[in-house]
Formats: sequence, structure tokens, C-alpha cells
Amino acid sequence: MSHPRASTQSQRFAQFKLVLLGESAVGKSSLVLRFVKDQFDDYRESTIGAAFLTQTIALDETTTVKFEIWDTAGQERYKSLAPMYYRNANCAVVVYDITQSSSLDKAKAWVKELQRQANENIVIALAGNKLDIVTGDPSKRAVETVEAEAYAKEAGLLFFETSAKTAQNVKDLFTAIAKKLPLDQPGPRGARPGAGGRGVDLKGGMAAQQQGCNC
Amino acid sequence: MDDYTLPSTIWDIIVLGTGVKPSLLSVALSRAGKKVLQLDPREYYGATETAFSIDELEQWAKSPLPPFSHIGTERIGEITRPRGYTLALAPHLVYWGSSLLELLREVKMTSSFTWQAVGSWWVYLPEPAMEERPATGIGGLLLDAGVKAVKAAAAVKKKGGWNKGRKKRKDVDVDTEASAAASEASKPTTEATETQSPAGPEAPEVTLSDLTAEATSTAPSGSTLRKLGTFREVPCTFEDVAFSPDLQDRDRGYLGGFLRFLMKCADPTDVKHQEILQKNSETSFSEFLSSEYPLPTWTIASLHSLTLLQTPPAETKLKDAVQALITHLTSIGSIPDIRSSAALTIAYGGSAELTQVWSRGTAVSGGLNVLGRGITKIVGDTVTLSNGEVVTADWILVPEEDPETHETSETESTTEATTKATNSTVSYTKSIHLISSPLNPLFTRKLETDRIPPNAAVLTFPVGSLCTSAGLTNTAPVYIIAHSSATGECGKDESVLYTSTQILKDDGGYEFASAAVRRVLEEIGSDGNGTTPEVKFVCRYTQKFPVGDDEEEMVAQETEEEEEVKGRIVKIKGMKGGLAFDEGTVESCKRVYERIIGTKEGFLRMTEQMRRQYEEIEDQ
Repeated sequence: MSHPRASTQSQRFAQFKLVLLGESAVGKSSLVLRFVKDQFDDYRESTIGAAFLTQTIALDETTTVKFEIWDTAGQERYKSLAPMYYRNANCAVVVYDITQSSSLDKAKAWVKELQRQANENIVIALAGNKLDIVTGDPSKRAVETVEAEAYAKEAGLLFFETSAKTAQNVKDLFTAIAKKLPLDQPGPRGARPGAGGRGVDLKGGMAAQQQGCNC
Repeated sequence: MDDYTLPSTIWDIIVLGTGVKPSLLSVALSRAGKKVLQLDPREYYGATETAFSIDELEQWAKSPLPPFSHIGTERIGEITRPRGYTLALAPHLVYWGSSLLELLREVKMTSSFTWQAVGSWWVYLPEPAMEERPATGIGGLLLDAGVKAVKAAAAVKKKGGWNKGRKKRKDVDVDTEASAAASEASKPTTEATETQSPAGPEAPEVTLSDLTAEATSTAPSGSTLRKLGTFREVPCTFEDVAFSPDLQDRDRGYLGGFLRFLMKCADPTDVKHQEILQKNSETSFSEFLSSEYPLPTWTIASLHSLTLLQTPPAETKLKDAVQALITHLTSIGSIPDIRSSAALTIAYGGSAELTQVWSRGTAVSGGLNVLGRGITKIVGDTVTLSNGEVVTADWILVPEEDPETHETSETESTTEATTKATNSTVSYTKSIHLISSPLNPLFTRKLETDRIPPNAAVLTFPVGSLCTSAGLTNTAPVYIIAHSSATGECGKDESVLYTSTQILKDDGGYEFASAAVRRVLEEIGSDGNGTTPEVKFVCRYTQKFPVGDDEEEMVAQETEEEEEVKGRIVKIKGMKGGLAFDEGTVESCKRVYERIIGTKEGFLRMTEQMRRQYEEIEDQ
């Protein structure tokens, strides 16, 4: 069947929009690529063609969470990450580079903007990326873990230091977000029990139209 | 955020605006390998097709700019999280057979959106209205035969659904399909039972058992057409017509006859019907019906509601009505998930989602979106931006009538040559009502075979059915597009009602909208304990739309081409004001694309690299 997600009422399926924010070159796309495809490519084109990528994770036997991940597509400047871009986002990952202290300032500015403008229920995670560099050479660290952690706590954010390169903490980051998302509370994109809100399946497009049913 | 300078001063194309058409052109041109700079002087995406949170809507209302006027907002109930709402200025319906869906399927972009089904059309018909009949009434010669044919057709429909179970080739023409349905519909009963299943090797899974179930569920118990208070479901399939408890047998004959007439009109090779259509194209919808198919007035109103046209039936041209009805009838029954539905709506803000996804699409394929920046001057191929930066582009695409960008383009004589196009416009009165109830009865499954419930519905108030405090009655229909919370536009226990009418504010337009909403709340929202839901927030506004054929846009372009100026400017006409997604949009963008790229081929198609990455991800 083409709709396993909606199979029984006891199954919970939730879809959430996640936006990535942060200064350029902190590794936002790499984090997404690691999470979505479990790949890391130093020379990878900054972003993949679609407007967003999706990845599904199973929280437990009955709960599946699908992330719709909106990358910045290299548009960190030019005001193009306007409120509309993150308005109906349920969660945001604000990324900084632990080897660049200025990137944390930028991250803080994004957190402030999100808290002022975005959906009131938004779950925000702060991710200090490039942990692999520091592991190799501790002198490269420019942002202390305790410092960022204290800030995250004060601002009410989830906090992880990650490495897109080695995959360290990447899955944990997204899982922690999924767990914190209000599964039973409606959000802009939220949990929908059963088939009620899953929407019309257009996958297969013409095929579905052609054959009447593509189960 | 900061006022960064652009990474380059040389662009292939500058697109001004982030509405539906500019965004579609931006992403298509960007995917064709052009270096695209997409600008908007506004601080948000979507221009006149955007969606707002309540806070933003209130902000927007403070300084109305054309094409918007007379904007007012009011918070009535308590709103705990005003930023969580996504209220749409363009909550368009997208018909299953529309060119937009065809395009999105072709370029594998349908999954960039969450689609919700638009369920039934409901028309407000108090009892007295049900008695009314037009003065005329020639009476059909073959009346009994007509009734028999309709019932026979319904029998076929029960087996086959409207289009159901019929195999389609990929390139099958909708028109052919429609005429097939029509001819099948006129088959006598004996044959009807045999046509039930073309169960070939690729026969769909929905076959006998499902269909039997459906047939049982739609048995002549009157269960096909529902009633919610004074709201009646609009009959739009042969089954509906055959088993509607509100129709008398002779009306069944006429209505069935009219449906067959429509299906024949959908066939361009049916010379006879094309001629009838041609001859009557300027005749009014109600006049044609009362002379050819003398149906009760309420049936005319309910059929008219399917057209979604803002003009009253007596002022609606037959050709416009027929075109709209064909779109409806050829779409209904085709959606695998929900056979009772004809159209979809895009969750999270209607067409605003299109603008957002397409604008982002421009960026991910190498273009650049810049908000809060417009154009102040264009000379040849040199463009001065609102922050003083000077850039060049081979092509400059600007909205034809967009006041927020207008000051920008009244420049050199090169643009003047293109403004020849018609200035005719029409204004509609619109409102967005946030309701403190989920209005569940509107969003329940119609057929047992529907796998999902609809999350939108259309309600129509016919001419003369509403009254203002000053005693005015409505001279044109008032439409309500209802959205459930599954559209992501409001909270779980709420719903949103979008109203639209051509009656202007000074003629009671806003009052009629309020009266219509009140009717819905009283009759559909009541919980049985006498509690009527309330309006928590309302925004009312008036919007001007272009009218006329898109061809005029072409003429303007031709004139300009003769000028052979280096920095070439193309004026992009705004979307029309219909409740359904403007069917001309895709074709008009393809024409502009063709002028720039040289062909319509490959419009919006993924680049080779994107396709590979897409397939890799799909594989997982």
C-alpha cells in the first residue's frame, strides 16, 4: 500500500518544517546532507535542487516524524530569509562554527529574530559545528562549550556540538528536536493522527491519475 | 538584515516581484541556466498572493497600497499565538485537471507542497427559494426518455465512477475523455451493465468490490446529496442528479441533459455542440438554461456556484460558465484518494506556498532572491536599484501593474512602449474570518471510498439570499472558501472562512460577507447546545484584478520587440481574480520563457545534476 503512515489510528505521523539558519560556511548544508543522506562531501554543491529536502525518523514503534528541511541556499544575506521563510516552521537549527567566534554572534542574532518573529511554538536548537577540527587540534577552538551551553540554556534552546564530517551528534540533534516537538499539539505543520491531515497523495502524478489508484 | 552589496553586477535576467508569475518565471529561467536576480521591494515573498500571520496582516492593513484598498482588521476573540497563523490572500482552488498540476507533475514538483482536497460545494437555499421556478418552461419533448437516460447513466457511474476505472493513456486528451463519459452516459441501461469494467492487465486496484461498495453506499436512498441546515450540496454528477431528493423527475431530465450538453461541449470535434456554444456564447447562463433546460431557479444558482464566477447567473456569459463547468466536471472523480472531490488547495497559505517554493527554487538553482529592494531606474540594459547599486541585465521582467514597484519603472521611453496593454480591471471584496470552531460537518467524507476527508469546502450564497441591515439584498453571489486546520492556516479547534464577492464595500459588500459567515456559523457551527461559534479575527479588503485575455500581453510584447532595445523589458500581467488558480498563468509564463530562451520546451524542468540528486534521494 502506498500509505503505510496512515495505517492505523494508533500510529502517529507528524510532519514538521525545519529551517536552518546561520552564517555562511558554518556547515549548514553539510549537516543536512549528513542527516538526510549520511554523506559528507567537502566539495559538494552547496544545496540540492529542490526547495527543501525531507527525512523521516522513527521516534519509537508508533511515532514517525518527517522533517521538511529548508536550507538557506546560500541566501544568508539580502534579507531573503524573510519571516515567510521561517513563519510556519516548527523548528529551527541555528548553526555556528566552533572555530569562529563571530559566527556565534550571528547565531545569537538569528535566535533573537526567530523568538521575535517566528511561530510562538518554534523549537530552536543551537548547533556548534566542526567538532572534528577541534578534536584534531584543540587550539582551533574559538567558542568554549560551557559558554555556548550557558547561552543556550538561558535562551531556552537545545544545544549540541556536532560534526557533519564524522557524523558526531548529528542524529542526536535531530532526534532531540523531534522529541521536543509538540506531537499532540497542532502546529502550522503538526502531528495529524490517522489520515485526516496527511493530504492528497500526488506521488506518481499522472500514473495515479491514469490508473485510478497506484496502491 | 544588513544592506549587503550584490555578488555580481552582471545578470542575465532581473525579475522584479515575488508573486506567482514572477516566481515561476524566476525558477524556470534559473533552471534553464540563466543567471537570475529576483528582487522585491517588499520585505516578504508573494506580493499580492502572499500569506500573513495575524500580526503581519494587521501591519499590512495600516498602509494599504493598490491593488488593495479599504483594508480593515478586527480582533474579536482572544488570540494566544497570533504568529502561528498563515492567512492567505490567494487561497486558490487548484483543479485536478489544471495546467498548474500538469506542470508540477511533469517536473516532479508536486511533493514540494502539501495538498488538501476541496470537498463539496454547498449552496445556501432556504425553503422558499426551492419553490421558485423561472417563468418560462417549454417542457422537454422527450422528457421521460431523458429521465430514464439519466438514471441509466447513474447506474454506469456507480459502476465506473465519473471517469473511474477507465484506463487512460498518458497523453489522453481530457476532452476525449469527457466525450467518452458523455457518450457512455447516454447508453441505455442494458448496455450500461456491460461497460462496468475494462479490467485489462493494468487495471486499477479499485475494481469490483470497491465499486459494489460504492454503489451500495450511493443507492437511491437519497444519501448522495447531503444537507447541512439550509445548505444543500450541489448536484454535479449523474448519480447526484439521479438520486437527489430535491429534484423532481422532469428536473432530473433537464439537469442530466444539461450535464450531457456540457460533456459534448468539452469535445472540440463535436461540431454541432461547438456551434450551439458559439451561437450562444454571449447569451447569459440563466437565459440559456431557462430556455433550453427550464430548471428551477435554485438549480441554476447551484449549477452556477460550480463555475466560481463572481458575476450573477444573469450576467454570466454562457461561454465562461461552460468553460468553468467543464473544468469542474472533468476533474471530479479523478483524484485517487478522494473520488468525491474535483479540486485541491495548497496547505500553508494557498498560492503563497507556490511563491515561496519557487522563489527558493530560484536560489537553489543558482539565482539570488533579494527582498526589501526595488528598481528605481532602467536605461537600456542598465538598472539602478533602490539602494543605489547599478547592475545590468539582458532581460528585465517587471509586473505590469504593481504600485509597490511602479515608481521604479516609470523611466525611459523604452518601457512606455510596452504599457499599451489594457487597463481594464475589476474589483472584488474579500475577507478572512478566523472561526472559533473546526466546523467539522463541512470536512467529512462524502463517499465511503474516499480515503481521506476534504479539508476545504465551497459555500455559495445566491443572488438575493442575503440582506443588510439597511434592507439591501445581494445582487451577486457571495462565495466562502472554508479551510480546516489541516491546511495549517489555523489552530486545531479553529477554521478559516475566506469570502469573496464582486459587490463593493459601498454597496454592502462587507456586510454581505459578514451575514454569510454568520449563516454558516449558526447553521453549521452550532454544537446542538445552542452555542454558536464566534469570529475571533477578521480582515476585510478590496482588491483590483486585471481582466481580459492574456493575448493582449503578447501584443504589448510584440510592439516592444520591434524596438529592439538592448535591455529588454517584459511586462508581466498580474493573476486574474478568480477563486480557482488562474488557468492562463502557466501558458503566459511559458510564452515569456519562450521569448527569452527560444522554446517552451524544458520549462521548469530540473537540470541534469538536480535530477541525479533527486533520484538518489528518491532511492533511499
